[in-house]
Amino acid sequence: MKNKTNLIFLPLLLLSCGEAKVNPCFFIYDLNDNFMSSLKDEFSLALKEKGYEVTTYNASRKQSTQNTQIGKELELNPKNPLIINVVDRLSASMIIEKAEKEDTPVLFINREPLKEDCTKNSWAKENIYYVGADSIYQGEAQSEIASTYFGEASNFPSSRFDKNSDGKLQVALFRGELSHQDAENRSKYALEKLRTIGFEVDLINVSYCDWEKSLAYEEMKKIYLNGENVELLICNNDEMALGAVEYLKEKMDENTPFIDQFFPILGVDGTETGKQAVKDGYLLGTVLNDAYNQAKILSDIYLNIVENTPLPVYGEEIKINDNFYYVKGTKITRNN
Amino acid sequence: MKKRKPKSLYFSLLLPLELILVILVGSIVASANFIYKENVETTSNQNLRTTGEQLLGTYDAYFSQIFKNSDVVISSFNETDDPSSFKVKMDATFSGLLSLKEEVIGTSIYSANDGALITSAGKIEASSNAKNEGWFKQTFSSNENKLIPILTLPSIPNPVYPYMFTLSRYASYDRDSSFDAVIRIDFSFNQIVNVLSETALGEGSSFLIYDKEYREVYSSLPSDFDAKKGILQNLVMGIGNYNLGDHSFFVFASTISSTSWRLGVFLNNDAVHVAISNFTLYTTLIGVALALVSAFIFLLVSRKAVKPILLLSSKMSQIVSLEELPSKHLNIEGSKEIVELDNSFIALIDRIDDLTKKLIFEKEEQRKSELLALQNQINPHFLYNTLDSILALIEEKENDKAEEMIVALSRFFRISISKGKNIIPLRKEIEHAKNYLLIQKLRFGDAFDYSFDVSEDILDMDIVKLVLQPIIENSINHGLKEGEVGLIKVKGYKNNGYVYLSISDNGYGMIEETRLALENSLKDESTSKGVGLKNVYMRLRVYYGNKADMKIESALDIGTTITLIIPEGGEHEK
Repeated sequence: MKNKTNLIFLPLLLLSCGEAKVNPCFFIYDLNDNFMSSLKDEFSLALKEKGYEVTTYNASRKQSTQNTQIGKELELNPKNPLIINVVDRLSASMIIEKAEKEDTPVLFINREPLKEDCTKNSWAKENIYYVGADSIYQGEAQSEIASTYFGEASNFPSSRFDKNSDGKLQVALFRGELSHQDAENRSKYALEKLRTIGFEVDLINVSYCDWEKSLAYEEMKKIYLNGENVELLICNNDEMALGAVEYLKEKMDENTPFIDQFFPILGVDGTETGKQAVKDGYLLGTVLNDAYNQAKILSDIYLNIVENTPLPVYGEEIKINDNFYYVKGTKITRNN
Repeated sequence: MKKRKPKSLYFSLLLPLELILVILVGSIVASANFIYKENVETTSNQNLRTTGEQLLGTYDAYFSQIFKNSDVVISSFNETDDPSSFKVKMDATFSGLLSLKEEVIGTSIYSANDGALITSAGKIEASSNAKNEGWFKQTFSSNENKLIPILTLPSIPNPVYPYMFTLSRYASYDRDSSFDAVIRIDFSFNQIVNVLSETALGEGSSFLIYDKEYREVYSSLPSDFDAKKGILQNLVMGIGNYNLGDHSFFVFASTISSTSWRLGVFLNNDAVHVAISNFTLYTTLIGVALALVSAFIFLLVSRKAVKPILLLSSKMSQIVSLEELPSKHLNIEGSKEIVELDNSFIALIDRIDDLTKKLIFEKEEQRKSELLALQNQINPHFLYNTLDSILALIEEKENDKAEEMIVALSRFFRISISKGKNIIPLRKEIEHAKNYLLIQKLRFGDAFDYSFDVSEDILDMDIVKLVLQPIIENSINHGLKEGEVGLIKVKGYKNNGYVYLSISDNGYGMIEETRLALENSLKDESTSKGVGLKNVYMRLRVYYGNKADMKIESALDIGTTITLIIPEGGEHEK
């Protein structure tokens, strides 16, 4: 019944639209997520120049809601490439299967679907895209910022940064969402890089804060009250880093610089508040999760599919692996 | 253009009404069905979708709880300060988990390097080395798999826990990745299956859990999966309506949060289809019944409306066929209009009846009066008497007078007869009267005198003949006094559209009663005595209608005047 109605309406819809373009649809897992929301804004801006009006769907962190939204859009405008920031990356397999039935390309963003789902057949290899941050680089970049700040790794044991003078670097790690590929990669490669550079890493604390500021605040409170000797705090994103800063600011002595008084804190994302905190000296640095470039690549791919516009040649900052695009981002410290 | 045969009033009344009703009822039934179907399907789909989503919600909650459990294990492992305290830390975590979570039936952790068991707890016996186990290998099969929970079913069903599955997950140790591990948690499905089997999905409804290769994980109805697999592969995701065997199903498919498993819900939708077809059946039946009943009522109503018209029509056709006039009281019953029509018809018939009778009567009277007039034309007494008088004049050798009388008689009769015409010019009528008076004057030896005073302008007017002579005769017979010379005056003039002809005598006159009695006897139609005056009056009325009149004026010892009043301009009718 429903399908029949749509069959009747579809030609009418096409007729009524005439030359008007079909709107790109951006399915976002949660509009309250600052980074995703700014990514969506950049994307809308990039396509507005080309005469497209982007429609946004907010799943409010419910995969079933997102599935319904996708189903409706597929019925209404099949063949219109979908831009999806999935709630649950494991749902991507079902979405890909459904999209293949409608021969509709899908551009996944930020949450990476499993490789095996995207490469299971030739259709998927051609029509499934992913654009996201190069989280391996981001993790490594964090460690590079720290290393630059600490100076030569071999000199660390005798430096003022080795507060307990044990020669090891005491690190605390605030992790994002468990099983999120970015959280895993940032954590893993940040630690790995520190070790590669030559620091003897002593990971004294690992906390799971689910990307959230408030959880990070609580974790920081525990660590502070335990009197643990932290020499570096690595956070998977700026929000968690700012949560730690917020607690420490309550304990701060106004006369000493924040970092000297406590320990250097690193974030990722380069959100506005994050950048401000770097400027104000609360964060040692952050790595930009480049919303602008991710949105740019997304719009390039969308236009390539819809209008056959050739894709530009990207520079060093973009890592390309078939249809998977990883944007490196840049380090942000007080010096730049 | 061919003229169409006129349709009976029956059909012109019945057909459009019934047609309108059938169209009306038909469209009401059709739109009611359409609206009902849309509403029921929408409502039902919404309800079914809600049911599906609730079921999904239950599973989402169940599995997210399970992953939280594994998160606890993984974070607890990763947060462990020193590899040497793994066993102690994990034992504590495991026992906490086992005591808190009823669905957790076994926990174990293995070294990622060599698959050696680190520690285990629970009712499921852990193998000492997991290196060759399928679930263990799967966690290593790709970098991505290291990040996600792997769900597997036991290759051989566990007799104690028929519904169990295993979650395995790679656990990285950030402090030293050479200590990375794989955790395994065994879950029993029984609890949630029990909960859900009590959830009434409805007769014939079921739900299935399957993986992304469409392999069965769980089916709420045994040996149900293969039949439904095709539908799920066709739908993939979302909602749809499908038929399977004799049943129709509302199908809802979705992924279960944080797993690559999927949930398919089949909700029996027969009731909705039965409800819709019942509704269609009943409304159609009611519609047909309504049309039939209304047709019957319309038939009755139109028959009742048409019946008196038919009666009236047959009544009228009796007149047309010139049979006897219809009886007045047919007792036609019907609407006010019909009754009025019938009353008017009866009045019309009565009027025709009256007029016909009157016409017949008048014709008879005319014939009688004309016969009388005819008789007067050749009144034998008058002829004898005149001839006797002529004879007497001849015997007395009064030949001049005799000659004069014969001439007068001859003229008198010529005008009397007038070639059989009834209408003659007034001039002739006056001449006729003069001849008559001349004859009588000669006969009675100048017992009276007479005079004529008639306006010239009316002499050429046509008039019914022999109207003056009977009145003059009357005046001579009754209006002359013995021993006195009488005077008879004839006057003629016109005034105001009427012609007046008066005959006056100066005889005895009449008392008022006698005059009144005489006048009444003129106008009384029942007395048909052929008195001269009455005959004249009758003939005037026949020829000139009601406008003609006769006036009698009289005064005792002075005389009587009789005036004929005739409308100017000829006869009234023939």
